[in-house]
Amino acid sequence: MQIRVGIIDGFGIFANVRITGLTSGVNVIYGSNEFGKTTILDFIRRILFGFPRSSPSTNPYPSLNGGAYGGKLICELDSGETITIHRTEGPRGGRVTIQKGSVELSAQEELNDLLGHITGTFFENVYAISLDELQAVKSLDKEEVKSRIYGAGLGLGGISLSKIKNELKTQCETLFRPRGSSQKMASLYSEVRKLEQDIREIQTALSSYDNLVAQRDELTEEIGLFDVRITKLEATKRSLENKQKLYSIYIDLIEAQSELSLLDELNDFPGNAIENLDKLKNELGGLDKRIDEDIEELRTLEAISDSLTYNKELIDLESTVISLQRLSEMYRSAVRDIDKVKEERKSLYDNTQTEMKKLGQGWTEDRIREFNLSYLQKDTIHSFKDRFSEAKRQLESATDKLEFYREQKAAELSKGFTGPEFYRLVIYAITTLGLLGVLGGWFYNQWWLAGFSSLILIIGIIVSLKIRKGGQIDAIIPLEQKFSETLEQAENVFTKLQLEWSEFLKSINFEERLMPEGALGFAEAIKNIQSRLSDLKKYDQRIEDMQETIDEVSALHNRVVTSIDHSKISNDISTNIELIVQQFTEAKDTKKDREINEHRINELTNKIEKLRVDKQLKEEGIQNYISSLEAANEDDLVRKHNVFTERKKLNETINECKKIIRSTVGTDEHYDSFIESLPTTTPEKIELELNEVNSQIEELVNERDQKNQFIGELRNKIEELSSHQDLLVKQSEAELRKQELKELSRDWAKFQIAQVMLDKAIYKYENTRQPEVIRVAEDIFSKLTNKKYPTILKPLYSDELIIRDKFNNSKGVLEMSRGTKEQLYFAMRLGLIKEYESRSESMPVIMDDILVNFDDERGPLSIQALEDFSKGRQVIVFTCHRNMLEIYKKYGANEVVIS
Amino acid sequence: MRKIRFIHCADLHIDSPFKGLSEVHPKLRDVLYESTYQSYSNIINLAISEGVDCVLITGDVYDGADKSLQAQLRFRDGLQRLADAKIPSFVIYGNHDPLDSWSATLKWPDEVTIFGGDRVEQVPLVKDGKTIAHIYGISFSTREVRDNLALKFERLDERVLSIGLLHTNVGENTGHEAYAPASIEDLCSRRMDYWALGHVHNHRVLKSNNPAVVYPGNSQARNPRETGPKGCCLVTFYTDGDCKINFVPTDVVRYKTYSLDISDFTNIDDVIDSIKAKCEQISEEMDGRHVIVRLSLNGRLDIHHELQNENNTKDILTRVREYFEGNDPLIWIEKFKLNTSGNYNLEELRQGNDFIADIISLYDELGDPESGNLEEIYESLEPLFSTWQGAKYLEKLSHEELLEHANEAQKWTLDKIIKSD
Repeated sequence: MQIRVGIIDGFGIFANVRITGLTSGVNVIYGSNEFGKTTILDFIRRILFGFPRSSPSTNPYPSLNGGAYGGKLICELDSGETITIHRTEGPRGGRVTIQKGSVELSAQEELNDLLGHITGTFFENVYAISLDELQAVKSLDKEEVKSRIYGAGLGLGGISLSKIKNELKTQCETLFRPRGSSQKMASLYSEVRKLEQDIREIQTALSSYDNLVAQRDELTEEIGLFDVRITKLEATKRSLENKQKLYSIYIDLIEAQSELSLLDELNDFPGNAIENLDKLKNELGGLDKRIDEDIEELRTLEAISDSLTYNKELIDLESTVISLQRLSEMYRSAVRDIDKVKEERKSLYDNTQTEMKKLGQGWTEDRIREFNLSYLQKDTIHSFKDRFSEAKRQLESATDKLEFYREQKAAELSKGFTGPEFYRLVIYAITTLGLLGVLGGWFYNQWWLAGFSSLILIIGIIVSLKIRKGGQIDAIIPLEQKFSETLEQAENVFTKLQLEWSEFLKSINFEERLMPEGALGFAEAIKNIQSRLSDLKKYDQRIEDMQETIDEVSALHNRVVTSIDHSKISNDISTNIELIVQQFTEAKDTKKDREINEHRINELTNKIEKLRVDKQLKEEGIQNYISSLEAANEDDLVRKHNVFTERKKLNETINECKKIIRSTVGTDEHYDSFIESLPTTTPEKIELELNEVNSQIEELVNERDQKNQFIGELRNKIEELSSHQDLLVKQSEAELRKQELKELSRDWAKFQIAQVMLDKAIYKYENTRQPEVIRVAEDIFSKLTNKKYPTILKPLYSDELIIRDKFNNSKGVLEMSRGTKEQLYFAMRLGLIKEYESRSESMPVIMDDILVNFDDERGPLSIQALEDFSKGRQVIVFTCHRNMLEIYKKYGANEVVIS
Repeated sequence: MRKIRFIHCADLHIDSPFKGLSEVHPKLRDVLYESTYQSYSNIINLAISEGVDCVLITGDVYDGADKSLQAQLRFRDGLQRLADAKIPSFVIYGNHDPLDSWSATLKWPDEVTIFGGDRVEQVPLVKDGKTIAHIYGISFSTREVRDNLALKFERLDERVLSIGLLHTNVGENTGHEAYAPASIEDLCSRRMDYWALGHVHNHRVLKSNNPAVVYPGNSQARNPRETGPKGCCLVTFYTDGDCKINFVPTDVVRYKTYSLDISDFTNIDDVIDSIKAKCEQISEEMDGRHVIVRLSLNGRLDIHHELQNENNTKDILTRVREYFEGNDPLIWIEKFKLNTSGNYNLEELRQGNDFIADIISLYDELGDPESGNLEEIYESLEPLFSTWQGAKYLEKLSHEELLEHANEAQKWTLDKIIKSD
């Protein structure tokens, strides 16, 4: 396929650009740097293969200068048919239409079909050759250079097959190497083997479970038999130990039984006979002691009674003494206060007389006491007080206002001219006339009228200001008259009120000159004197009461004072009263004590008599008790008691021995057989038998303990086997590792397959396509090097290319000069294109200034080789060097102009 | 009216190790250790709470090859709980736990019937002094039982409900070894009312009545291939002959495989968010159970190359796992398989005339048995799968598997060779 016309509607910097004149052979497009060579290259590629998806690494070439995104390529196929490929923006690589004659196709697949299914990647890798690409050959490392030049024949662009192969190898070897031990799978394998070993060990241990259980059961049975034998021996041992322990008790028992049989039988003899006798004797002794004590106390009481004497005369005057005691405090107060009260009374009397005199003539004590001002009268006085106050206020108000207006009037009368009312009206009329004249003169431009009228207006204003307002004086005069009348009326009211007040004072017998406030004060003074007169009366009564008390107490004192101890009597009645009361109290207390003492003497006398009777009865009771126990006397009773006590003691010993034996060996037949077995044995014999049994038990217990210990170990093992989870844990761990192994084996298989298949693909290529690629490249390379290197070799099992000169000297890629490497790379690319096109539709080869670095000899040679190569196909060359354009043109290249 | 109600379970595989997982969170590991036993316990609890008339256990109680003593003891303890609740249990052994694999010293409660392996035995099920069913059963005496045991069953009394217990592979169920093979016709010819079967791990009701033929499936999934609910059957027979079979999930961990289409995703964070959301959705469907998720990511997308980077895939897995760290119930992303591809069109590449087309055509030829390429590949894999001492732990690659890995190899190669735009 060859491009004839390119139409860029909008792509990057290009808009509505046509590339025309493209022909078969070499086409050169000249343009300075950045004129858009790469853009045109990508435009062609994308129109053919589609717009890529947007990604950060892809330049989308948005239409920057207007124009619909996309464009057309008009191409001629190898078959000679012309197609127009039109691609615009759209999903999945853009919307493409292919016009082929009258047929319009619209699928990328159909376009691919026309293009011989070449891929965009291959086109870019093989058909688009840039200077950068060539220059990159020098910057790669040695291995990479080999791979790159070799890859140039594969159409893989910058992809390095050797890198891929190395990666595959590394991936495989990381996972597995046949005899390796450090790879992932080898490590895992070791782990699995270790886990399986552990599992086998656990399982082996588990298989012993049944044996262990059987052993345990067998041992448990044996131990059961041992237990039976030991139990029997222990019973024998217990029996012997009992005999040994109880032998002395048994001896005590039979001795006690023997002694008891030798003592008298005592029927119903009380065990507490002696205690009872002693108790009765003690009670008798107690009675004797109490009688003696009571007689002693009686004698003491009688002596006390004799010593108690008192003043009987004073006791007989008890009521008088009590009265004296009751009045004594009042008497002391009266004697102390009477003179002082009299003095206070005199002072009050004198003050009262002075106050009465202030009231004036005629106000005697009786009149004062009788005086009483009623509430109505007080209220009337208060009413008069308010009325006088109001009348005074009216009077003062009328006087003030009248004086105010009189002053106003005098002030008005002192001001200037006063004229009749119509004077003011005339002046106002003249002033108005002047104002109208001024306005009229101004309006009609009659300046004389305006001037004259101004004069009148000024005069009118001055006169108006000079004339006083006559209305003010006229208003004051009636007000003055009005308040003159009001004052007169107020004075009349006041005079009338004074008359009413005089009448009222007369009615209550007060002096007429008093005003209401004075009348109220006068009434208050009378009230005060009334209170004092009342107090005087109270003083008189109190003095009288005090004198009465003094007189009464003196009389009572005189009646009693003769009955007391004369040596202590004094002249002071109060002191004597205290003495009387004291002596009276003492006499009374003594009298009472004596009465109590005598009552106690009577009681004791009766009690002693009763105790003597009780003593006699008790003596009779003791004698009766001794007789009741069939004793002759007290000594006989004691003897009988001793026999009784000995029998009791022996019985207790027998019972205690039996109890001890029974508590050890049991009751009934056990006890009986035990007692029966003892008479035939001795402690020594028992000791021997016991030793024998003990040794047998010890032997059996030891044997049983050993078995128990063994059974314990068995149980532990069984418990351990049946409870631990190690097996499951290990098995799960092993499964995890196995699964991991399996997954890694799958990964390894994947990489191994990839390796094998890649090798097969390379092998296939090297055996089918590469010879032709190398043959063509050899031809081109020979031309490029002016036949210096006529041969290119590809050794077996190596991806290195070797060149050989005409003298059969070989050079590997690493030994070649930079220029030679570039030329070899270039030749391989052209070789691949030629080989590829032998099987597929040809495509335009696009080169970007690739020859600019070729030297003067090889540059033209390369152009010549390119010319040869381009026969029957299309080569589009971009250059930004004018001289290169000329050289191209010199060798017959077609210059293409972009419009 | 209800005549009899019982629980039918099988393939308990108590304390057998979990398989098919290459990486497990420690917490989940503990859960997995206990999962088979826990599910068995759940069945016992269900039997007691439902007050069933009996429990039927049809083989593969544990894996005899594991020789796990604890499994046997735990199984017996469960039956003891049933016995304490006065619930009789009837047990046959299967290919995984034949009679000769059991401990000889185990002591079973009186309420437990273990069927022998010599002949079909018939045991009456008595309730309140009345025989309410006859239970027939036969155990595997050894692992390799290839006879048709179903034909040995003979119904002895037509008047009493008859239940047959058999560990068998009905109709040569693929995926399970053909132990004691029997056909559905064989079973029907024995005139049982209910066939309680074991061996197949998926719950299946082969026939719902006259007779009912039922596989309860295993009670707890043990590897990622065993997806879906696992449990037991609660079966009720009514006096009118009707039979109601209720499947009750008792499992504690479930496996879930899910394909997630991430076509056109443009960054890894979106992929992670999508995985998280999907896993949360899956967990919600698990009804409070722990779940182990195996995801495959599919689709053509620009970030395919990024996803191919092992570090990125590890990072994605780590981030998703960290996100679910501490979740209860546990959500564990076991792994995800990358089935994504770059934005190239394989079909277009195939039609080209270049080196890439050569590679593709070589891979295409692998599917052709005539090409002989497959043998070459097998040969290249022999150092690992045949001659390596650890080969015994690796399953041989099947033809399908090999093609699958070849497909992955092709993708890997093209990813490396084709420059992305």
